[in-house]
Amino acid sequence: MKSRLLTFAALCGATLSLHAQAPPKGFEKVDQEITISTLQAAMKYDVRSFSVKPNAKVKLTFKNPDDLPHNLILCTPGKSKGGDKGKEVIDAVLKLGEKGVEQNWEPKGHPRILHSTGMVQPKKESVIWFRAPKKEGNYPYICTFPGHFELMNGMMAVSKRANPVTNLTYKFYHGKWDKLPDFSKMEPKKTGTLASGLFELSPKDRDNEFGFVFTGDIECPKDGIYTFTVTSDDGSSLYIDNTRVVNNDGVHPAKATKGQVRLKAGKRKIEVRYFEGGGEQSLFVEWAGPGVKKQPLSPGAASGGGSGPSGMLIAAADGEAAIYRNFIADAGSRAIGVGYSEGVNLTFDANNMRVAQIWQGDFMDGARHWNGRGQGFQPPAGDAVIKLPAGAAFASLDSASAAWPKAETRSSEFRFRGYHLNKKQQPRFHYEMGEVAIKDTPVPVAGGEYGHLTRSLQLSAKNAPANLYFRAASGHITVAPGGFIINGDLMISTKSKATIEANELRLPVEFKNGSAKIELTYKWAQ
Amino acid sequence: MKTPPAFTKFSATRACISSMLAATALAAAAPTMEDFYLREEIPLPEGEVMEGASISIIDDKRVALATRRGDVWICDGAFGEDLSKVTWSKFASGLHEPLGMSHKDGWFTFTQRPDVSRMRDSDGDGRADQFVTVAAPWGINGDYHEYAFGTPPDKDGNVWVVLCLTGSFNANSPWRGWCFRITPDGKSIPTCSGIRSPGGIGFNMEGDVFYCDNQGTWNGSSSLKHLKPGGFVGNPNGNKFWEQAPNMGPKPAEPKSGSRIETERKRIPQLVPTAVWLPHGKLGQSPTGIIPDDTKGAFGPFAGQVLVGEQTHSQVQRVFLEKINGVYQGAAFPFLGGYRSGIVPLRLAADGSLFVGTTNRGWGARGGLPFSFERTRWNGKVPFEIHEMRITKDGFELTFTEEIDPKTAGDKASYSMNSWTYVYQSGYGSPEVDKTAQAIESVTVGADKKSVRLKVANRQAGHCHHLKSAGVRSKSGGELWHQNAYYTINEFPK
Repeated sequence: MKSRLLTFAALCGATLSLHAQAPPKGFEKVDQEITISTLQAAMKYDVRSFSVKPNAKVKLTFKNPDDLPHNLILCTPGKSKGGDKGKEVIDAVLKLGEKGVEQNWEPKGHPRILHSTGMVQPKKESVIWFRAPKKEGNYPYICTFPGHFELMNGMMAVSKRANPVTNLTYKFYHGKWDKLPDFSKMEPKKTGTLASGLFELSPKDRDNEFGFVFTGDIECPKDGIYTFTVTSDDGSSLYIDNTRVVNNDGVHPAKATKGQVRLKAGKRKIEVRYFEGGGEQSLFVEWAGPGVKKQPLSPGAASGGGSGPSGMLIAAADGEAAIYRNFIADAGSRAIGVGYSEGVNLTFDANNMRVAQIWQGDFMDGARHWNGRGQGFQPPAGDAVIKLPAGAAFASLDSASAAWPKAETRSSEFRFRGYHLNKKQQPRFHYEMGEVAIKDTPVPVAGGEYGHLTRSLQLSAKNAPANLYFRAASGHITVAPGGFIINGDLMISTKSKATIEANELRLPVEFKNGSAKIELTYKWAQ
Repeated sequence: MKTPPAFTKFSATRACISSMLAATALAAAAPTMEDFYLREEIPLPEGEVMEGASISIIDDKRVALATRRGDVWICDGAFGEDLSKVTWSKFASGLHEPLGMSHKDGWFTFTQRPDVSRMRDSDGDGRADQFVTVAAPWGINGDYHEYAFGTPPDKDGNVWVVLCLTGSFNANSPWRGWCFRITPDGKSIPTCSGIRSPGGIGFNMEGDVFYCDNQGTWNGSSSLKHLKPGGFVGNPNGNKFWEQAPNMGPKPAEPKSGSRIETERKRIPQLVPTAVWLPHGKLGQSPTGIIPDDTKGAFGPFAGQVLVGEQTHSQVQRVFLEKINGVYQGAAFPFLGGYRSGIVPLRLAADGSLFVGTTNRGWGARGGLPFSFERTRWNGKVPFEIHEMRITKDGFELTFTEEIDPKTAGDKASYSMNSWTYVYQSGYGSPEVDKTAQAIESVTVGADKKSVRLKVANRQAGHCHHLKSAGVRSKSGGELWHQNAYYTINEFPK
């Protein structure tokens, strides 16, 4: 029996389909494994939709814990619009008449049959290996035992965006809201299945004033912390096992919101709720976790706020610096990115007059802001990104141990006055804190694979304020030969007096004749 | 058998009409832009993406073009006869979408998303090195819609800035939906509230400031609006900052959604009615930059009027403004078209060279190119056009650029008029509503043979009045280059 099937497979090539319990040659390692089980006395498959990549090697295990025999026959997409769920094959089964029993209710050779598990008796299982079709589309699977088809059917989506979401269904609503309503109390306008496992708005029948609730299962490969990102216009939320993980509610343009959750390996219930008020609309879901690199769970690309487009690296001309004023992640809406030829980069946050972050390697990718409308904040393109404390870098404190003022989106105490470029196009930033004028000059230093940075801050004031402090860093700070190690990844050195207070590296500003100076060196810790 | 003679007669008539049509076509083909204006693309440096954001005339040789990516380029030779000889140099980079720029005494003043700044080249190496932030009173939060458009300095040196709503819907960031005046010494004066999504800002000849707002919430159609200091121009989302602007006087009442501007302005004295509707879909759909034609005739017969850029349809519209009972209103006319991408900034040089910068990024545009920089010049031939359209006590007065044929221009059948307005509502846009027909009751040809007075019944305050002058001919028998005009009535002359 086994050898006959192998011969058959060898002859058929493209429609290779095997019932052997041991993997056939070439299928020792598969791209995707899927297990579909019947539900006891329910006349249903537990997986009603799943997705595979085109041409992927697939191992499908079909288990039948039910008390009746069942099979699973995978069919080509129906020609009628929206497919026919394999009904043509069922019609062929009816035509078998008396031969049906002999043939195990399988119209062998029917042109729409791709693969079959054969009839699986109660409490038995069958494994088939096959290559997924090359053509993207929705491929129905059915049980052909008479009378089962109406309830026992499912859909395999062949999609380049195949993903671990199964049984994805949607409920679509009409209504006018400015935040997510309680959909459970409403009657959906329509419902349906998204076999692709992709959260998308395409089933909508209007462009404004509508909502969706998507529910499905997601297979977590390992125990660990998973991150879900939902970018939406307007509001959305994401639930795992009925617990809200992402809250992106309200009326807003495409906006990305992340949430983290610790999950056990296995199937988890995933639910996404969404509403659109008016104007533009978008929904883009992504996840990442142990064993999962950031993976989109929606078609297309995030239209804003998400990981976004890439491929337009901005680089400084040889020996010079490049400036990129834009919305930069963790540096605010008035960010000034500076990329130095020496291989180091920084962003200056002109809302809070601070160096927001430093990093090595590539400077910035312009693709987010230079394609389409350019929504959202762009993170650095390079690596070894070190974030410096949010909020103002200078503060007047009642005492050396007083708490640092809370970070604001934009500190009202400061005024940004611009910058001056030297011949190498490197900026010196000018800003004011009340009567204190500050010139802030970062300088890149070449050396090693990447360089490092020095920074000089010159302060001047007619009436020097007392108790002014500069906060250089925060986090886990240790004293090492030559400087302070911050969180194990940054070493800050200074000749000025520095103290560690409340997990912050603080430098008291000491004016002499109306001026003060702070000099710092920032090196990536080895 | 009476049919044959009748048939013969019919054929003869038809033949007669055909020959008449042919004769007309021979006598005067319908005028086109090429008959009067020369549009030329200015070659750009290879490989550079130069989506137009703002333009500044530096002198009689050089023009600066700021791009949406934040570069500022200087084009030398932009006034030359042979545009293939222009040279480009990059003056600055890394600005944050500078949608407003002017040049004076070696300094560029520019408006970008976060602030109004100045920059100059202090060491003479051809590149800007000194960047000075003048003022940054408003908030931004990373939303692409948070554009800031700025004027050149006005006669007092103030830059006027209009701030798009966040997402074009709300004022969750401080001062979105406002117009500021930024003084030369960096003071910020809140000047108007009610802005939604501007596409450009500029002056008329009198130095009053206007901006274009795009169709959306509380704005039924794209339109040209007057920024009257202390005024509320329609979208109430930004009014929550009104109390922080004591110079603005009492806060306006909340407008009623679903009403009409004409109704609400009677209740809300601060509400400045739309000066001129640019009827959505009929006359473009994304109006942008605004400039006065201050070339004293170097750009054709429309000196003193206002030109408005159009992004989606890649056009330039023409607007005649007049002030009635202290309120601006007037007529919009189609004018130039055929640009290679959507116009955002435009500038006229004193010699009559019109420069436009274009882009189709994020918002599609006609023309087929992603961006271009183009020059348009008048060739000296006067197009036969309605020059001005004024409201009178009983109708409208039209003046023409050329002497008219008194027979056609004096025939009321040569004209037709209908009007409509838009719902003033919190929802997006509006259909044309309250549609009304106006009868042209009589036409009087002016003694100068260059004007007519139309007596019009049933004119409607708050409406856009569409005048079609299909039958009017010039003295020499020529057709109008453009038959359509759109006059917005806010006030009737007393």
